[in-house]
Amino acid sequence: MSGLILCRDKSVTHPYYVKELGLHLYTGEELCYFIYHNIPLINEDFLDESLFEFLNQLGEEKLTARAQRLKEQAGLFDVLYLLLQELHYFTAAELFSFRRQLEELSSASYCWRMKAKGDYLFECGQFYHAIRVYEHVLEQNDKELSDQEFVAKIWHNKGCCNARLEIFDEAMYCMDKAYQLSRRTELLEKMFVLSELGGGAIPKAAEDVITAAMLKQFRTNLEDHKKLALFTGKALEAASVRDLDAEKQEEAYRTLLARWKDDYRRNQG
Amino acid sequence: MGLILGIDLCDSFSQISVYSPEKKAPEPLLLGGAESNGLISTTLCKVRGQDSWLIGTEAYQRALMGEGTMVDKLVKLLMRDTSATIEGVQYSAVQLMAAFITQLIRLPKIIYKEEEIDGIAFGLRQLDPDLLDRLTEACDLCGLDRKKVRFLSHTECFAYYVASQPKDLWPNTAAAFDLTEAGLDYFEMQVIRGRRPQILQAAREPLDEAFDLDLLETPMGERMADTILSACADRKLQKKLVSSVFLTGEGFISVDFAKEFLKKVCNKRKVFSGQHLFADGAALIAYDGTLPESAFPYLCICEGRLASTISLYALQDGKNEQLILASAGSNWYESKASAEFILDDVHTLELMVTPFATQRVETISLSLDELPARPNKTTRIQLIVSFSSESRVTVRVIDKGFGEIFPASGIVIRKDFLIS
Repeated sequence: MSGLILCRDKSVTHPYYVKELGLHLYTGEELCYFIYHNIPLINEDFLDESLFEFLNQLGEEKLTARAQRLKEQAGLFDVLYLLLQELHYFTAAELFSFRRQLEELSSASYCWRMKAKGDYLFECGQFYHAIRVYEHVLEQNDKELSDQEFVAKIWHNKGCCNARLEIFDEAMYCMDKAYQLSRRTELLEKMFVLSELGGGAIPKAAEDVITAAMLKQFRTNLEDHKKLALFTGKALEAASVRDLDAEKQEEAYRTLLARWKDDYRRNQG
Repeated sequence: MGLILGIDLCDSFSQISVYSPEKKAPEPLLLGGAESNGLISTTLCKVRGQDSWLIGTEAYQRALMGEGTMVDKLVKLLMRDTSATIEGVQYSAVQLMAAFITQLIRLPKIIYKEEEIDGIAFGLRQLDPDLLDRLTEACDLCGLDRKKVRFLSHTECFAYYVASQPKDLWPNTAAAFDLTEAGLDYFEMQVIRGRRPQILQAAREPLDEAFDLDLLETPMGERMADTILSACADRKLQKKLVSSVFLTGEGFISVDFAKEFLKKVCNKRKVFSGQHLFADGAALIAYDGTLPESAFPYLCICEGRLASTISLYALQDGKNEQLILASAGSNWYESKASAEFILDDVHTLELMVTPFATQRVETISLSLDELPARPNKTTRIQLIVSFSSESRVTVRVIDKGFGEIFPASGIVIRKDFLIS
């Protein structure tokens, strides 16, 4: 293989906006990459007018017409496959693997797919979006929701999103719901941590289960996590700026802060 | 239809030819008086106290009469990018050249009663990249549309001129001697047959025997010049199948002084003497440039034209295709290619250089290691290939990122290569 893919010349004046990730797509290649790597995020709403308008802007009028026809006759996954196939960004092997992903997804229930979307948004740091998706799943009247373990996972994940947003009391509520459904002991530790962070008292039913030995272990783990936190994530990024020369430091702090602000704004959904 | 002009722009004299669509041939612009031979002195004079400029003999005369300030050697001035101060105002070389060109193209506009210019080609002794940049600026100042302006080497003008002549004049090699204040140049052109399209190969050789034209002002000097030229003719034309020889340049306005030289060059050859060879060639090229597609049936390889094709392989709509970035035979000054690619597991960019007459392929490589590390297929690069001469190519790779998913770093990798 040559190693180079010639880009299409067309540039768009109105990029396609992916609201879940808060980013704009400007080219056919970016659209292909987004579809391939973010398939859990994509549902029927994706095939809206703005997508077809975007494809038209790329000079893909024929492809747009075919995609619109296929949307009526077949469904979401066939249209996605058509787009990837016709925009020639991926190789035949990559398309084959994508086809298999689609097949797996098409055999899954609606609630399972939405949970996968919520999980994916969580991984992308889109906590508000993820919460909305989890709430949407919990409102469904699907047989999947009779599986208590499945529902417990959704409450747990929603709790994690709230914790990441530092809404600790709401996080505690979610974890308690998850615990009531699954009775998993690791949830007790999470509730302990939330209470330490200001999420209020651990609900009585859960508190009664925590033994003195468990409490001691939870405390030790929390201290270890606090120590580790000094050398990971944002603390690590800030530390790397501290090592710079004084003259470069101010600019670097400014850049870092601007990026954190951008991330935060994007995560607000 | 607007004017189609060919201008031979030299340091001492300039000439204009106007392409006549009716005659399908260029015709020299002949002025009256001292400029009846079509040679217009490349001299500029600003009339004292007025915002008006004169060129040619009139510029000399007014300056001699003390009515203005004269500037000459305008091409050299432009090459060195110096300036001249006239009446306390500093004028850049570009401004002075612009003033000269404006006055120069005014002449055919008046004579042909036509303001519009459809195409204009400048023939130059040398194609220096800085000179061409400044000339482009000067043409911009004159209000000339860049798309309609071309810069060509004398060699190319010579090739086009000869190719426009009846074929029986050049069944073999055609040669030319250009004797000017700037030097003595020898040109040769031949057709390489057996290929489609056929190739016109032309070259210029500045001869060391060049002499000052003041030498021709005395009988003894004329004899000496004749001897020098004869020696050149012996050296360049002996043992060669040269069908025709063209003599041009202000040194050959009269060829009476060069009896021995003429004897040698006229031996079983057709010899022509005239002053408009380069301007006519330029006008022919200017006309060709106005056509939707070139009507010139040859691939011209000469000074100013690329001798190699530069290409690379890339996936286009899923198929591995050879993409031509610059074609052999194209004008290097006008050859600038830009294309965008996605890198698919590649760390070195490889361009193929294929000389026009061979099957041999050379490769020039550019390391892409400086680009930021990103997941595969998420780096978009802009590749720009440009030239600063026939043999010097500059390859630039600009990191364009991958939209908002992976923002561009702005890193530029640049490397110059010498090609055949």
